[in-house]
Amino acid sequence: MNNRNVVCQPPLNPAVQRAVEYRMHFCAPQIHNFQVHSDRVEVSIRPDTEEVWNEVESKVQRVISGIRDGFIPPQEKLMAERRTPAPPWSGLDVDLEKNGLVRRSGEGRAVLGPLLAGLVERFDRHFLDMADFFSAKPLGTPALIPADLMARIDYFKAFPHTLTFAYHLPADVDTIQKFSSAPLTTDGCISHHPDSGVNSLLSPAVCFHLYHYLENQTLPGPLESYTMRGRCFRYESGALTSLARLWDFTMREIVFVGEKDAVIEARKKSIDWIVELGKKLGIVYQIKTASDPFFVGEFRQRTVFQAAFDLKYEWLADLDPTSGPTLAVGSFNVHQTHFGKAFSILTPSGDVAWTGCMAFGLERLAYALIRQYGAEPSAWPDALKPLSLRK
Amino acid sequence: MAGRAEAPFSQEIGMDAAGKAKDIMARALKIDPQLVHDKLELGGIPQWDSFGHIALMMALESEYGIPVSEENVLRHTKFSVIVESISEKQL
Repeated sequence: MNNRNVVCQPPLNPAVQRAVEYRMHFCAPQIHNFQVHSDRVEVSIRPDTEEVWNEVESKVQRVISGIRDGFIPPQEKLMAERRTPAPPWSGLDVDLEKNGLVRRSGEGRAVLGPLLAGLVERFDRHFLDMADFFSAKPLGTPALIPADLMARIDYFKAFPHTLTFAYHLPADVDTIQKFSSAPLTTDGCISHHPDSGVNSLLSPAVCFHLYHYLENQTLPGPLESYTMRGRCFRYESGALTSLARLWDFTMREIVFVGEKDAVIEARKKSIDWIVELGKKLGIVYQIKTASDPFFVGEFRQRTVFQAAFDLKYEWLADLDPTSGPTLAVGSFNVHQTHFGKAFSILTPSGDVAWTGCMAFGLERLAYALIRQYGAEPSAWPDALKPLSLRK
Repeated sequence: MAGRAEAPFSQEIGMDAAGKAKDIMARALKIDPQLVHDKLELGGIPQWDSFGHIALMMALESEYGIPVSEENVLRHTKFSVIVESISEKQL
């Protein structure tokens, strides 16, 4: 298989390079491998024919120009950082699967063994404390979400590449029996294809359910806080790697709904709270401005908009001692009136409510902790040790 | 003491740029041009929300070459500033 090149002229700056790299995973099914350099994108394809290459090259060009043309990368702003004392970094060589800590069950799916599942729960206890600090009310949310609700919040335009659809067999005895007798194709896929009637998805975030729950309501006070935890689903193609990026993962959210100033202040307090928690947990990280992984058509304007109005910060845990690779383990978001308007949620003064959410990826936190402290719980910071091992 | 009534901003800067600003804002925000007034700011009407602002910035870029940069997104949050920028582009 040959490596072919798509030349990048002018060269890509680092921000564009990173953005192109992520979106290349969704570029063309014939791409077997790729590497994004500043001056070119190196691609290997299957089957390696001129006809396929012509098609792939034009798609790669579209991805590059959709990201680069007219894009003025926003400046990163650092909100907080913890780099000392450094953790022992004893988990860098731990192979989670070989050590029986996880069992992969397919692309972007993993079963966590007791050690990691316990760690996830202990992280979550800290976030429940945080939820208590903000007097957040709990909410139970389903994994399924209606398609029309996703359309109302404009999700299909911003993140079409990550969607996971849910469907069932039609209420038809012939179809059900036919499926039942041969449920899988030879390559292990479901043999039935829905013709129509798919109106549900697996939810990519838990807070969307809250906004729906509050639809057409006037809030009782200037700020209401809620918390919820649930499975979330974001298909990220070839970017799905280990526990760092799962298709199906657990998210804890604390959500603020209310007056503009109250929501902004609550987000600030959440960041302060996480800075304190970071000391207790002993992890090294940065909190800085970020943008969501918008798809090509929407990338440029939405990324710039998020940055300009300080809408998103990410909590980035270090994954190695060079402080090079990091992993977003949480985010602190303000949505302005996006959801308040979509669901007609009003403040007591009659204004459209602002919303903000703090979201934490529990498997990612567990993964980062293992990288920094290893897989031996006695070496973990006290705040994350099982009770029996605490001093 | 009653002072001289201030001339509307759109008259000071010239109707041409103000008219163009009204026109582009009405189209980008999908509103009646009459809703656009001299003191209008981001958030002043429901249609000029985050999405409306993105649409407006895209329109300003494609029609007047004002790039969608962080600085411009933050700067063009008032009708008066949009008029100024269009006016500068016309010089």
